[in-house]
Amino acid sequence: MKNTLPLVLMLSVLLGSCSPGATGMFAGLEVETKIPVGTLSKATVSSMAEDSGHFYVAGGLKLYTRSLVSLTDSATWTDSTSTITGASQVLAVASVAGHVFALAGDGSTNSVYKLTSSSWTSSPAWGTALTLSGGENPVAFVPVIGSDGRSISSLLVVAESPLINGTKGGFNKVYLFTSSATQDGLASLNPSGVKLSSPVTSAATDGTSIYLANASYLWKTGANLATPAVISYSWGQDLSTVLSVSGTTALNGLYVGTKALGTAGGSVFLSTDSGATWTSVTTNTKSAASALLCFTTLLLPKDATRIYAGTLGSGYGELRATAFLATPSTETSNTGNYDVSTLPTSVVTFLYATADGTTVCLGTNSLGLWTQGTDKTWKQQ
Amino acid sequence: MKRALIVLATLALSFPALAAQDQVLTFDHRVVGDRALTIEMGPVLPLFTQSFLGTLASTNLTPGGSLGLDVDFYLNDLFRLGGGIRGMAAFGPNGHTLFVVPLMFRTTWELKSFPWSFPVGISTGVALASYNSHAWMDPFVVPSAGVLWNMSPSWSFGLTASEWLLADLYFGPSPATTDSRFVHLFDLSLAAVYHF
Repeated sequence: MKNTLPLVLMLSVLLGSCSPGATGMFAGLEVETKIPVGTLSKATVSSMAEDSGHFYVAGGLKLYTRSLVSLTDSATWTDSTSTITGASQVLAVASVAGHVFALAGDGSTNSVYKLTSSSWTSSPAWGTALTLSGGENPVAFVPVIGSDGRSISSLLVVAESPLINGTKGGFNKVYLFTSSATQDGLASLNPSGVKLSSPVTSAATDGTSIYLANASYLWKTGANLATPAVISYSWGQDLSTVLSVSGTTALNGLYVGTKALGTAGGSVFLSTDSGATWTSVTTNTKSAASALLCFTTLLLPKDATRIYAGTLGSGYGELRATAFLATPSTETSNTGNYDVSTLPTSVVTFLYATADGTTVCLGTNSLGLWTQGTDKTWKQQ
Repeated sequence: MKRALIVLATLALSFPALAAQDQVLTFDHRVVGDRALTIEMGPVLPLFTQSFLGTLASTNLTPGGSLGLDVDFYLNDLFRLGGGIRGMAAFGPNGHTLFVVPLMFRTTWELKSFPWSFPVGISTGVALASYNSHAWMDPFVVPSAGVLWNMSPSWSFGLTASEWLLADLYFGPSPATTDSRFVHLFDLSLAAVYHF
């Protein structure tokens, strides 16, 4: 008996250290396929856009384009950075109703560029740099997600004020580009003189109002950023993302995702009364790998059965329509190569649904762009 | 002359006796308390997986290799009990390595025809399986058969074929019970046995 004690202890330690993952080991192996290495496989991908002819991706400070065919085919991405005259770095791209914008610069100052034609074949043609009316430096694009949870209804340009006595002046303006955007069609948000010390990170609309997530604040404005007001609620952590869904039955409501703070993980909250009251719809604040959840983005794919939630270092998860039990990396177990790749522990920078609704795109930090087709399997671009 | 005939007759009569003694006292004869240390190494061929519903599927693994060390104790000339540890590695489609480390208890019967032995055995225990940063413990059964050439009283060499049957079991909710699999692997190993 005395001799068997070490063996029992050793087996107990081994068993205690076992972590099976979300999928059975050999069941997962059965569906695993070779992940092809693509052009973007090592890039940090920040954003994605499309028009009637092409896809556009900002990744690794470059602009990549490819023809608008199925993302599951073997078409390759072309480095089109040099097509933006005067810009050496491309920070972001976005599209609003077929209009494509790029945020590009030389490393210190940036400009917004608009694609002048969507019917190009050899290289995209960009207009001259758009100047913000306040003279600020544009630093980020924030797509305003429509009430279907995935389309982009308008585009916000987050602007950084010029230096004041050597100090950054804050992000005190947000510019709105609408679907008919031109350089003259900008509206700016400067809510009652309140300086936005942190940039707006996410925006969504319910068709009437626009909701803006900015640090611990959730702003609600009119259709054109008019009459901004803060929704008074304490979610416990800073907000990172907001999504408004209507038109479905089980998923309607206003969602916010929060960041991790200290030892507290983030959550996804739901409000069904336009922000008056909120309920957490995530039961866990840690991923299956015991990492604190920190949400980065929310999206409702076209099949409208689950909301996808991207995280900072825990991949993405799917929130079920009827039972919000899941945390990232536990509801993705049978989606092809997701579990076997490093996606479950990666940073999801954005989620994007193609206009035809057939593909969900997932941008990552240093792991390129991934696409999920209707068969739910993930492939790397 | 007479003396020479007597010597030849004595030698002639003693040859059958010496031959009989060779047949009985071969050096592969083991007695209780004898021990055997076996080192095995060879390729492993992943065969297939099987769900609870009986559905067969490819393991999606490359051929791999195994290395093992066993210690057995003879209870009589033909039967031994022992235990051992194995290590097996193979690769998935994306280059991740599957490691399986069985800790086994085994029984072996040795059928003998000097200088050959034909060990037939069965092993059981738990295997620590690891793949893509996940780990789990699976019970297993390994029937085996082999052939050994007894080169000397201390050393035997040969070949062992084994069928590894791992039970990769889950009880839900994550991983789901339906993710349970029976895993079949075929191991063909060169074996060196040291008797002491």
